[in-house]
Amino acid sequence: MPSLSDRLKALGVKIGAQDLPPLRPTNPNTIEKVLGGQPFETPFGETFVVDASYPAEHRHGLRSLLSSAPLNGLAIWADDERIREYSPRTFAFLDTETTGLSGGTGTYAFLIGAARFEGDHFHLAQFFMRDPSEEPAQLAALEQFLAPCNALVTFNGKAFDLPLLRTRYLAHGLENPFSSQSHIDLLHLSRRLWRDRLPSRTLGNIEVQILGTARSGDDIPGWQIPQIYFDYLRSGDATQMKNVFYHNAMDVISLAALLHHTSALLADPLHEQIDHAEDIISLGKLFEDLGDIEMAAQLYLRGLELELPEANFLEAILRMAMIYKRREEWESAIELWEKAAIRRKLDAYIELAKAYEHRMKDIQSALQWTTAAMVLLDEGEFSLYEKRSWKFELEHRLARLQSKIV
Amino acid sequence: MSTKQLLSRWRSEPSIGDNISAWRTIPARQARFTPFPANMHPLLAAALRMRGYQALYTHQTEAWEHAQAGKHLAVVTGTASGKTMCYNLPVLDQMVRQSQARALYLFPTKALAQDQLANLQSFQQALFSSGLVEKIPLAVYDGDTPNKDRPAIRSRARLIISNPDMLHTGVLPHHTAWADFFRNLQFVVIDEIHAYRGVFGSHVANVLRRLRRVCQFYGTSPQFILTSASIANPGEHASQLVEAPVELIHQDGSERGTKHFLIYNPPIVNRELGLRRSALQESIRLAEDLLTYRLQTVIFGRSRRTVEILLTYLREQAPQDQVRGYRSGYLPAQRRAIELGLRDGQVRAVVATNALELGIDIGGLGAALLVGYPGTIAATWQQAGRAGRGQEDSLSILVTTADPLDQYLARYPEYLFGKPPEQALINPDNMLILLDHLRCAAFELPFQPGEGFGSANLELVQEMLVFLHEEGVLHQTDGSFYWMADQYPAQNVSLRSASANRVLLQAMENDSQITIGEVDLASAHWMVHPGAIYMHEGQAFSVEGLDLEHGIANLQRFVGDYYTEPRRETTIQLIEKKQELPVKGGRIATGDLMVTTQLVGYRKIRWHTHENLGSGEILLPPSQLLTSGYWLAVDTVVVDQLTEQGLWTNAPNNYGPHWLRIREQVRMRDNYTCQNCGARETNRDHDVHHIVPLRSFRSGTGPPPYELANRMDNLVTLCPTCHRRAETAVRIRSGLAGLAFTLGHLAPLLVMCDRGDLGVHFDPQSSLSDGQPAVILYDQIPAGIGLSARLFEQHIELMERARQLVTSCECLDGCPSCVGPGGEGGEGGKPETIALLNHL
Repeated sequence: MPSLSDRLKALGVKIGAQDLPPLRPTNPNTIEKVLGGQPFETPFGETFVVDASYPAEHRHGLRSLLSSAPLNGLAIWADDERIREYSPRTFAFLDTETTGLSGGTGTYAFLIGAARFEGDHFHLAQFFMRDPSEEPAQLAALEQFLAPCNALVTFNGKAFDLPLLRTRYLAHGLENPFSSQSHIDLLHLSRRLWRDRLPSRTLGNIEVQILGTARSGDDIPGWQIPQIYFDYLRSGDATQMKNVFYHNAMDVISLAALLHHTSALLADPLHEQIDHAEDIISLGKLFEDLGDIEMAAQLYLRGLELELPEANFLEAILRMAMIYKRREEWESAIELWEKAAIRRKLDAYIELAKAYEHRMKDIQSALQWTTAAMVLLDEGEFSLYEKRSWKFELEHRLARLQSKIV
Repeated sequence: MSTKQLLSRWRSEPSIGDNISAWRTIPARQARFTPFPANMHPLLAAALRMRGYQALYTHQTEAWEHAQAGKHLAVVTGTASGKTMCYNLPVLDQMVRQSQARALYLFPTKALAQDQLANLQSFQQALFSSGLVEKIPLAVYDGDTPNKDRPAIRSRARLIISNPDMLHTGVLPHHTAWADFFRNLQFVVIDEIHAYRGVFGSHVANVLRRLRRVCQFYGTSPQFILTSASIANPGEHASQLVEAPVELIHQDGSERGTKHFLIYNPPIVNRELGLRRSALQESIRLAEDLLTYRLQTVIFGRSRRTVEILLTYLREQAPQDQVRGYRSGYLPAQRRAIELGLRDGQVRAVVATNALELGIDIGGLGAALLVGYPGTIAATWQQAGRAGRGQEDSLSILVTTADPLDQYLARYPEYLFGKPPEQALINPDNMLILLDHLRCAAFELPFQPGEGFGSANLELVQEMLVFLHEEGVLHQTDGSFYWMADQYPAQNVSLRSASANRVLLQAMENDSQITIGEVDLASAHWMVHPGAIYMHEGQAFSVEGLDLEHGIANLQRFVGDYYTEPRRETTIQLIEKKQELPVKGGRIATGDLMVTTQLVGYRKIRWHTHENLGSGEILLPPSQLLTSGYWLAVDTVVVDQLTEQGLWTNAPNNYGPHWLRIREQVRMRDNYTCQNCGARETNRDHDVHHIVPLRSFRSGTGPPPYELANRMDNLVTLCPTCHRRAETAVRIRSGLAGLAFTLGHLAPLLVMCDRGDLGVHFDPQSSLSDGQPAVILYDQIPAGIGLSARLFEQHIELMERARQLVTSCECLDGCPSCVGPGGEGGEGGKPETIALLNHL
């Protein structure tokens, strides 16, 4: 009777395609040996935790782990008033290492890094599932650790880490402990702040570019992590897990420093040192979207005083001009639009035509700008659709202006 | 009435009336009602009254009673019999009584899903209008549901309408996001279960195993309510899907007007080749009459091309907006427009490829015209069932093509009108399919020590889990198995193919290359070889290239009037014989086989007339398939009897004008000696034998057959004994070929499958039968799906049908409608096949 393997092979199933480490249940390089750490008792059995402690003032690049900035800006951005009342000392920082990215009930968070402040210290606890059967204990230990904290800080936690953890709790019939807390997902904030300047907004890149610090050679790229865990499960050899723990620890620590940095930027943007003019404009846009036009205006004006790449410059001009327009400060608006017009920005021409016609009551200038706009439309690089829609508008405007002159 | 006038006209006109091979009038039937059940919630009863119902049909009440008793049930009443109420009533009743109750509805097509949603929503309006019950949140949850809507649906909808594919990839692997839904799931409704057969059905059965497993995790055990078209084994099929006893409800209590059912068989136009007039052309004639007599008609074609041709011709007679095409891809808005047009009479004809595409709201037309047998009897009645409104007379016409099954039904229409012979078969324990779903199941929930999977053999399940552990996909701890891989298994499991080795079919669509489907690697060789014409959802594509290494076939839309049939050289090796039985004329057996297939070319065959239009080459490596099969070995006794009887009527062969002289030349060349046994001529001339028989050279164009057949290297001198033996061998071969062809085409009558799901092979000296001649039928799916096993059980019936078909065929010496086209390949040999069949 052929074996199952043989029968499956005859049916076309590819067998043993990848290089798997041999199954060895006992290996000298246990996780305890490689990482230190201790077992941790829970009502669901034992799990494994690696603890580390840092002074709250410890700097990770630009910022210390404990934020001293007020949280009002952050609260407005997160649209969560509760945050305003909290102290950063009650925050928890969370990052998971998982067996895959697909989500779904077959993805495990085998390593959960969490950190909170305890007095003057920053306590980082890494909860590790030595075997899938330990998962309920791991989850219980995590819940216990996070219980005293008011808010969670993550990077992409909204879309990934928290839904995954929720799935894990539910898969064991446990209550989801994350349903009602405040949650600050720094990925979204980072996008708003640095999308225009940084091509990649991964935590690792932000750590280097914004916080100004680099990791040691112990770090590994995220995509290698699931396989390292699988190999550890099969072989029992935890040597490479050291790198995974390091990667995770650095992620959590970066979160704390990044929270500090972003809340500082949001609390007092005008007095923070910002090295790149684009970032000032991005901050301006953020404040404008949150409704603080006054601050936005100040940021735009400051940014405009500095060297800006062309696209950011034009965007800043137009936004600031719109603010002037809403404030009815026409001369200032016109001045900015003329700057944009020099750079052949069609929107500016139209705004100028409108402003001169309706506000400055200067039909001639309005006509000039309209005609110039039509010339630009013909010569410039516009899509067929744009040309058609603008043309209609401009011809209409031209006709009206010409009738006014007569 | 128009229908009667049209029928009498057709009857009296010879060019039509003579071709009507069957005419049945199924009498009208009164409805049988029962009052609303006493234990129905009063609000539900009130809602029913508001919608115009005063009572229920008997079968609806029967369904209600079984549902109340907590049983699983399957409703097998006809089209438009109110099957929907059989499940909606128990479900809605429970929803009204229990504010947290949930239900899951599964439909095989999106059109049906959308129509059910609309139906339920309007039903709900009646319920909700009382103000006494909260609106029941309903939603369709499938691939088209926008992502932003999904979270709300998951958490709030109480009745979800979906399909097996979505359940497989989108719901079960994320069941924690559906926790509330599963915790309260009371009913699972599965519509049209006869569609879940073969490979697809076997996959769906496993998806249902996973569903039940997840429900168990959340502490529920839902009640299943199924519906099916009429098949031979509805109860068995339902029980296999659900893996529990299922009550069968089949006494139809709905009313029905008089149904006229005609089978129209186009006349033969070439007796020698056995060719008939095109079914498509004849259908157009009939359709024009239907339009002239102002009967609203739905016309079903087997392919998009047929639909297009029909539309083109019919629109010459009626304006564009009155003759509408109907496609599965239409948006709800477009479908609503056509339905409205039908209701108000503006649209006079609808042309479609599939009854299911029509959803539920197109019904009650005056006539249904089927161009070609749809492939199963169930589908035939579903399509025919679109004709008939309330108590009015309805007319259905099946126009048969030259396909053997069509012709069989034209001559033996009782198969359409009697108890259906066809069975829906699945094999949920097919090893490849089972393995795939164990992967998915392990992803969903770890396997506990000793846990099984549905009714699959426990030992096999445990063996497979261990296998997956060794392959590094599962991690085993203390007998539990956890999914430990960076993969999403459901993504790689297609519910429509048997193995993970797949070939993706890609076609250019709007300037971009998109994947339109996929086929098993094992099937890819013959389904999508370069030059093949491949049908997908009724649209024909030609295969421009096949890259086996990367698993991609490049297709292009094809506008032409032929399809292709590959020619293969197959060798079959016995792996393990499972069962053997003696039968009349020989023995039959089943077992595991290794089928090695080498494609050697393909034929181009014209649609509807089955003419041979030419051929093409195929250069592909051989492919191997391990599967189950059933074979018939012919006893040596029979062979000897056939030899002695010399029964084979020597059809007058035209050996050409120079035959006598050629004979003399050959005998001289061979020294008047038998080239087989060495005997010298004594008092009688030896015979001169064609090595490749004369019949094989019948081609139609080029030099006359005898010229090619009479070439010296094709002729050999044989003594009478050896000649007779050689002739017998040729004839046995011929008879076997004809038998194989016939069986292969007829088998779908007994087991619901496509012609391509079964492989057919014959061998005058088969190793499976110790050198005796044999005909072998095998499942074209790795590890088999149960088709040949079932045919083994139905052997006697299968032989009987084959005999009926071949003996009653009007052709002279074989044709595409019985034993296969004569000509190259030595197929077909009608007298030989008949002689063989008489012994079996």
